[in-house]
Amino acid sequence: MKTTLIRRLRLARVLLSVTLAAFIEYRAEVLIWMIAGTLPLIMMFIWMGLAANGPVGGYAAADFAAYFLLVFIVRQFTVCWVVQPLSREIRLGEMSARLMRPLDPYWVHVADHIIALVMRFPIVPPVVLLGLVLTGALAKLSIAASPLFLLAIAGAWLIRFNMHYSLGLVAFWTDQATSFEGLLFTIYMVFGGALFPIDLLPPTAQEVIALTPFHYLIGFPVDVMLGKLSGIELLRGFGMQMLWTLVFIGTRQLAWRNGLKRYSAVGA
Amino acid sequence: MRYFALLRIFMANSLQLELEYRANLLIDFVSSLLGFASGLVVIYAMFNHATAIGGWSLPEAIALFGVFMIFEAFIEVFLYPNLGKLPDYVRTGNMDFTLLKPLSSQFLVSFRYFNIWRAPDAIVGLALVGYGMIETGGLRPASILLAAVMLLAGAVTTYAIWCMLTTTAFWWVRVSNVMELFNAFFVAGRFPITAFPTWVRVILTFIVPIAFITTVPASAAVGRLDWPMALGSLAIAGGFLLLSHLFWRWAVANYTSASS
Repeated sequence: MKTTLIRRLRLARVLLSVTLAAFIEYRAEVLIWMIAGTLPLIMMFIWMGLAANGPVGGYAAADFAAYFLLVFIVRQFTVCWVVQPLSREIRLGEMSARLMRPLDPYWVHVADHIIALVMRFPIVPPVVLLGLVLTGALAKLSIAASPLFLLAIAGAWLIRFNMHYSLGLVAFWTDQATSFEGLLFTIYMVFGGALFPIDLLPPTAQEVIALTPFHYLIGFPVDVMLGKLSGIELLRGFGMQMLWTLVFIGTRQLAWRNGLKRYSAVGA
Repeated sequence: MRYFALLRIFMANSLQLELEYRANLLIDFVSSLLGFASGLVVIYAMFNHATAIGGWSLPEAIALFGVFMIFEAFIEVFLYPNLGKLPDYVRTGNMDFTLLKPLSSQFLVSFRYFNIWRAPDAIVGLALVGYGMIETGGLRPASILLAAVMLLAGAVTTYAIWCMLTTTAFWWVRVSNVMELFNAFFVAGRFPITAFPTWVRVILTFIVPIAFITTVPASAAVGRLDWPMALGSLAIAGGFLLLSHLFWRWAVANYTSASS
């Protein structure tokens, strides 16, 4: 009992020092990646301009500011780049070395991505807070919903990471996995609501988008924090998040098991 | 003259190479289609609720999106397949072979490969510009010529910025992120510069001249160009090209190869 606790504490300490080391080594890159995620902010300026002379589809300028700053924060904390390294490991056979370890390579990538989130903590929230204050959008947030917002971000992260991991595993069958990532990204940005709030679309389109996983990656967490959703809608949203999480965890496990058979069959 | 002959050989060679990997064709086609559709959906969502973006009407905004698509294609066809490889050349030491050839190394690094499958984007972009021109004032030879010159200037500026960003690979090998940095600003180019608040406009005009790359050619096409901007565009293209060449020469002079 006592020894496991000590072991875990030591593991956590090691992980923390690795985080710090990585942060120091790649701090410039982290900053660049954050700047590279500015598309929601560009959309914010455009929509705020459109709403300058009166609300657009129920959104005043401050509503747009709150919406897109939240989109920015959700995207930053669900950042996922696993397709490239994973498919490279499979294609070039680097996976063989990883398979020797008594740990599913999945967890190595999970740790990588969690560390990236930790690195964003000192920068992203203050910047967003500043933006909210400057645009007068702070009052648009429902502070009471913050715990639910965090939960929704966690759900979004689980869906996105497992979705991308599954896509990366496609490399067991074809070397085109990374080209699909571009397609996925375009759909994700539009359906997720990173370019405009999807309630600006006709109701039918909204209903269709609400069935796809993409809505739960950006649009849903943002709506939670804006306090727009009733109790039933919240339940439904979190239920959908859970459903899609399970679907993609299942897909990943299926692809992993079958892909591994192929991989050994190739004799790499 | 020799360089034109080489360009033709490189193009034929790239075409042969690309035909080996025809699977790319379908994926590239679908991603072109999706990029096009998502761009139009955004414009649709905006004009569903407004009559103008930054003073630009619907056909004008479509022409601008067309220009944006042309530049996206330009980047995908020419810049990414060539300059995108520079960090690898430096990391692996292959840069040495490039420098040994009796040619301008900047030319060789910039125009060796072409990803022709993304070229259709440019045709769609041109069609959108054409649509915008017909809807706003007609396809007059003068405005076509003006738009073509401004497009060319924009292409030169885009090339020069990309070239300078990737040249930093001589010092920082992990430069792929630096290209992301350009994209972060470039995505603003699908909207008219007038749609942004003043401080963003200043950044996009004077620091990262995206305004000259997309807004100015589109303005020329739909007949709303003002001459200071047109002349500024030419000056910036010339200035940036010269700067990129000087920077390249300086970088190569300081290059110490991978092994040493």
